[in-house]
Amino acid sequence: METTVAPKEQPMLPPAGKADPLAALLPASVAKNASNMAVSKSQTQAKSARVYERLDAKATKSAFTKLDKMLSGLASQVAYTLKQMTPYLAQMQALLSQRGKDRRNVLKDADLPSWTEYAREFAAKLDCSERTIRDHITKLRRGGRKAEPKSKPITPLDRRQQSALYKKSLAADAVVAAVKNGGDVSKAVAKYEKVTVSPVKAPKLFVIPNTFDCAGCRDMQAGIAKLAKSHPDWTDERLAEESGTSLIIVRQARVRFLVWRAA
Amino acid sequence: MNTSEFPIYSLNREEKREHLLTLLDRNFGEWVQDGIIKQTGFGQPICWHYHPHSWSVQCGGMLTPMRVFTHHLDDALVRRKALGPCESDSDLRKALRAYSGAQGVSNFSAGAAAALYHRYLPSAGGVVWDCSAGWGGRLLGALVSPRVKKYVGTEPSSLTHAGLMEMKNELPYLLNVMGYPSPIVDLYRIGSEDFRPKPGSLSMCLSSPPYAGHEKYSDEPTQSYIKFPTNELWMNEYMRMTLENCRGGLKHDGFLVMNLADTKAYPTLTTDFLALAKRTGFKLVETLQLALSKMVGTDKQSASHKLEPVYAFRKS
Repeated sequence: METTVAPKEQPMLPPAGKADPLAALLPASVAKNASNMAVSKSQTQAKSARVYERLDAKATKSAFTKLDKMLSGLASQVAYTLKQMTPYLAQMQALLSQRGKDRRNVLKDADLPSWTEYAREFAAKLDCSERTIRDHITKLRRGGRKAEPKSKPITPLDRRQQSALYKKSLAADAVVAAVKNGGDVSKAVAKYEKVTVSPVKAPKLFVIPNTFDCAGCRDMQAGIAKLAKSHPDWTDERLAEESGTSLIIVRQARVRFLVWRAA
Repeated sequence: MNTSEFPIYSLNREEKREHLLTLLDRNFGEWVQDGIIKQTGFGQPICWHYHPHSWSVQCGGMLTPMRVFTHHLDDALVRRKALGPCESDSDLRKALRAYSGAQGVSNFSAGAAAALYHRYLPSAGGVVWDCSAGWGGRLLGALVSPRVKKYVGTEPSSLTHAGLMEMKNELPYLLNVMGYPSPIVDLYRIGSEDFRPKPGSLSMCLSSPPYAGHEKYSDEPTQSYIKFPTNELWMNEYMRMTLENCRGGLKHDGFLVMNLADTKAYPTLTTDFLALAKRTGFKLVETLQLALSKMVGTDKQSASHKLEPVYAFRKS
């Protein structure tokens, strides 16, 4: 999504991505170093965050003021799309993100808002969601690629199979209704038999989150440990396959519930 | 705190993300000051999440935390409560590790590894070989270090290798989703004495080998303490072959960086290692000190860190 705000005058800044925004926004002493650093987009992001980490409360406040002034200007006066503002928003995120105790203290001393607060307020100015801003920043850092891959569908059925299943269930309802009301059952049964649902392999514990997202919560690990106790001959790999989770979650379950044995 | 279950680390995706954030965008150049590498536990829970079996690994013939849990739990809790509150899983883990006669395995700090990559790799980045990948501290350090372009790890223990493989499968993806690049990771289930890297392909070898038989990671025959059962064999065969493989794989200006320490069972380990490295064709250029955790029960304010040497060599 690109959010456009009303045009009023030409932007004073160089086009986003062509000049190093750090050079314009940081105190002179660190801007010189920062401008020498730029290698790739991702490296620049990481390095700019590092440069900001060295700033004290006064310099942080000054960098914030400059960035905020520019972003506010872009949001309210200039024909700028959110996409074009994103590099500067990324700089602001690097400045305001609270990494570590020291950095938290500096931001507290400078009396600045958190990145979350700032992003929320800025999103309101642009009439878009905070999530949109975050997605644009993530996309920028990933070189234009999508932020998150699409999650896998929970059902293994395609659209046609799902539609057939739905029709079949309606036909089954009609059979039940005919029996209850003393209607023409044979007609309803014929209609039911007409709808074909091709058999598919039932998924194993498909509702369990995919292995990557799964934390192996206590209940799940308790279940795996129970399975391990009742099938002492099963390998960890087999347990992982049967429970639809990863090898490490199985091993965590074994240690947590004391059914550990060396592989 | 539930004392009927062992207090493992089990992190969900968000928790892993939070721990990764403690390591990202750091200025690792500042983590080595006056020759001392700063001690931090950033990211350690991530490594322990992938290696639940580490609780049963024996160190220097002492009790494992798992053994304390199954045989001395009540006593361990009483002793821990005498030092302070014991309410969370974290407190329970401390009670198990600090019990008299017990010792848990240690992991190389991911932050310290990233600081060493920053110090010895060229600014354009390079390839690193971790000869004994172990619990994944150096792998995690490589993942968060902008200077590591490729991490090659060798680890003979099958359980530990499986944990590292899951780290490799999950963490780079998670970093990319968070907007950070990640290096290429290659892992091999093989001992460092048998792994021959491509000649001239490495910019740095960084490792912390298993101090002869001090930490017994598994009872598989591929373990160096089983293949080379005496201190002499371990040093003159296992370490010699490992160093020769490092030398063969390193570029002419590459660095070999090793963390080693003397143990009760092998009091001359570091002296013997330095002599061996010299014989193998390495020149010592720098010795840093790696700060380790303070001992439980000591006065946190006044107690100083335990230090272990980290030797940096260049091919001569």
